[in-house]
Amino acid sequence: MKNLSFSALSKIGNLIEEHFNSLSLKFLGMIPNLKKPKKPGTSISFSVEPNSISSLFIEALGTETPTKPEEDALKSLLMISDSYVDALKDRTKAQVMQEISAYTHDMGKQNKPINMTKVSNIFEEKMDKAKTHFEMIAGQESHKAGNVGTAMSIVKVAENIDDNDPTVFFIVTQDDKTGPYEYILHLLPDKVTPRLWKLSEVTANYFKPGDQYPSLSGLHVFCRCKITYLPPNFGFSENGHIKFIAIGHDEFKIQREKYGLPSVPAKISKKKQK
Amino acid sequence: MSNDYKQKYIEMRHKLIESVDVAWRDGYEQGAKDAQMQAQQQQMEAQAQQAAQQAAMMGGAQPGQEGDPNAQMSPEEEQMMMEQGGGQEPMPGQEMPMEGESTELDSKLAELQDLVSKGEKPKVLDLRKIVNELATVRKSQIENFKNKNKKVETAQRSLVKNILKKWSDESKSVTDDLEKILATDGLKLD
Repeated sequence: MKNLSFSALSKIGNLIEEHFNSLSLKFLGMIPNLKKPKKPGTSISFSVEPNSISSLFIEALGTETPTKPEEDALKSLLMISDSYVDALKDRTKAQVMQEISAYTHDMGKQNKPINMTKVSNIFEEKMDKAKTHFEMIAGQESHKAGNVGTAMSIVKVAENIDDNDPTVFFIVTQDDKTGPYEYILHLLPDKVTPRLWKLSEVTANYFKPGDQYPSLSGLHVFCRCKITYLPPNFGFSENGHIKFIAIGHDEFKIQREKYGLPSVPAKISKKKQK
Repeated sequence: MSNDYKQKYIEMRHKLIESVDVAWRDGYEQGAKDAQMQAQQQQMEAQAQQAAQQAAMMGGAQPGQEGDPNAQMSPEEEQMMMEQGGGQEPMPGQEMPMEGESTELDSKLAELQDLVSKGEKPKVLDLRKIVNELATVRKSQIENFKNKNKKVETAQRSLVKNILKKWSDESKSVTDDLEKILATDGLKLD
């Protein structure tokens, strides 16, 4: 009886590792050693790959020369995304190695040949699950990168007009994929007018059903709502478009006085969603 | 230059009030005769207001000079100004000008300030031109924001699509390599 050798098992693990590392590099968009810079105190230089978290953040920020806080925000985004991909990589690696090892062991015990189709199926099944999970990470983290970049550009614009806590809202794409919490936290009960928030109220945490405030990460996986700015003196027209109202007009104050904070249930039944 | 848009808006508005009054006077001179008396009274009142306003604001033209404007804008004129500059109704996602884009706006404001500071009454056409240019600047800024939002959304979709394509392409070669590893490990393959 011959089992899969430790060397072969390690090679399988390395295969998966290389696959994830290559994707991670493309996904994050830069090749920094975030934990160990070459010279202490020097900023880490990096090149931005197109179609990556980095390029998305820079695009949303609206500048190719980020300030130190903006660079730090990008590094934080990258580190978090990288950690999620790393965790998925380790889990997938462990699962693939475990299942292939167990299968070859069982075949060896029965003195039967290894069926490569079976091995490929084990591998593909685990990789397909990982792909679905990876798609969720890519969607969620890229959405967050876009919104964090935009939020930082809003702060810059608002500072120029002494608006220290800018009023923001989320642009909602309304279709069958729109989640129930978007109607509560991103729109007023008329389902047309955007609900206003102060930027200080918008959290960077992942949204959990029942949370009182919206999140830059979106309200669900594949959330498409984009944060944007409502300058002072502006409000909304009947169809929910930005409109200049009058000097001194405070749409946030009016909305908050009229509607208050929304009541956000921890669960929404499917009937209610419809 | 500091970007105090509120102050600039107030200053610009005062100057626009003057210019609109010039237009009003020109229109009046060509207008119906039966409104002449009433208009003269308004002009007299306006001159008095303008004298005080000009003395306080910039020491420009004196009351009674040609082009002496009325200090008030009619609602129609205000509406016209809004439509030209600040009263547009953009799509959600359109915002105020970004840092850096203010330079062009500053130059337009400086142009306007320069005209007035010379002590000459700016021609209606000059002012209209500047207001139109300001409106163009605002429109272009709105357009820039619209484009940026679209780009971010497209980039996000493209990112997810590309990364999944890369996943699919590369996982095929991983499967081939897996077979080679098992074959070279001396295992009996089917």
